[in-house]
Amino acid sequence: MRPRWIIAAGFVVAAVSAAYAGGLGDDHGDGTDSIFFGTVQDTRGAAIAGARVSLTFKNMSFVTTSDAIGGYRIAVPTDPEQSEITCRKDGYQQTGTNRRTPASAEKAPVEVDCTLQKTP
Amino acid sequence: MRVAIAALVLAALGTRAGAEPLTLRYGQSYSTIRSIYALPIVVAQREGFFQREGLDFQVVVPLPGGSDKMIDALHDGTVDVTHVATPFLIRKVLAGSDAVAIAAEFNNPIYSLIAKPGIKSFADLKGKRIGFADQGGSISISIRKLLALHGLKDGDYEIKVIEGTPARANCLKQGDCDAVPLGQPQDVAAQAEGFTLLGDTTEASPPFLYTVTAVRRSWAQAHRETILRYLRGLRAAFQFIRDPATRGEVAAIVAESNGITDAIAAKVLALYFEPERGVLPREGEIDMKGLAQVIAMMAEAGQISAPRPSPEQFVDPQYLQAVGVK
Repeated sequence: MRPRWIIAAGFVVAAVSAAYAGGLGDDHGDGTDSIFFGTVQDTRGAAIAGARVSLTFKNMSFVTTSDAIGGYRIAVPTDPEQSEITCRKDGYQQTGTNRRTPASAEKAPVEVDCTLQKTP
Repeated sequence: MRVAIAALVLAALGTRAGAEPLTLRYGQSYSTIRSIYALPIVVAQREGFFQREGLDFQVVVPLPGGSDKMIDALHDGTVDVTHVATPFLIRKVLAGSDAVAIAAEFNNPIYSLIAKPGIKSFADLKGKRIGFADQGGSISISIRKLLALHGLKDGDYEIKVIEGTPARANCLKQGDCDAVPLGQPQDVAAQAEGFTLLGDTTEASPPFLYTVTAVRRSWAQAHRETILRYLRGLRAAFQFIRDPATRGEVAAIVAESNGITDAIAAKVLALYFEPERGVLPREGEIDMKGLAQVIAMMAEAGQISAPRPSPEQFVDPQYLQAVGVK
């Protein structure tokens, strides 16, 4: 049996192929993406806005920015088991991540919180 | 297997550059990553052309997506170079960006006007609903020209704006649209399913420069060697794609990366090369006439006011020249 991410990737590949329109929009997300969400905070638990959050899968990175309350959400065609979340912001260094993966539902959102520490 | 062998050979020989690997973060919009417009990059990666040049090549997709966000990603430091549709580069430069095209990636895009099976001619589209891309974009401008060429003007048909070929293909298949412009490979696949090909945009629009690699001038000046390695790898990819001896391998890459059959992938390549339609550059060279045509199209759509800018201000040819591309 094929790993489920290969099957999911097949759907996503078909969905996004040749989407480039020369126009203004993207066909972003079609219900089969893997969803990652979480917060970026400092070592005291305070939210960090404007941090760069990267999801790396194979040789590709998807990059977004944490919002005003340190939150982020990334929905992309990747295998969650092979995807890594990292966070960075000038003046900080990442000290750790806390990942919570639901044990049950397939394609359930994966929560990854980043902790950053101010550099001296 | 081929990639594994190539990797072993490269590991044994070392990189051609023979120097410390240089990292390059290449931006792609979300909608491009699995599209046909990513083909030169996909080939360069899979065949090890960037690795051979000593380039640690990384694809970065800024989120939230948007083809119009790619030049912004250069400015906020998310990426070093980026794939971008030419009109978006022109808009940003005219707004003050120091971004510039350093190589062509795709020319002369072919968008097919595909209709429901019961529609057999352009005349049948009168009073029907047509799915358009962004109204100010090159696809819509080209499709309007195609419709006008066949006697249909605004008001003869209803317009529904739908971004992206997959979304327009869905509109057609679900029956909400009577006709839509589709890129490859969806247009080829739709024909195989019985939908009607009425014509394509190249019938009505002169060739133009569709997508390029762009970089900020300041970044390129500070990272010249990285840019040169990238351009050598990209040139090798174009040569590989164009070589009849490797056509089968390219078709397999198109099939895998776009989630289509080998047969449809072969038809897509035949559409591009049999006969030659100038869709892909030979080595990454930038067609200045094609760029001038984009400017003309944007002016026609009211996106650029007079006087029209010169194409030269959007291109820095020194890097292509340095690697021997004319």
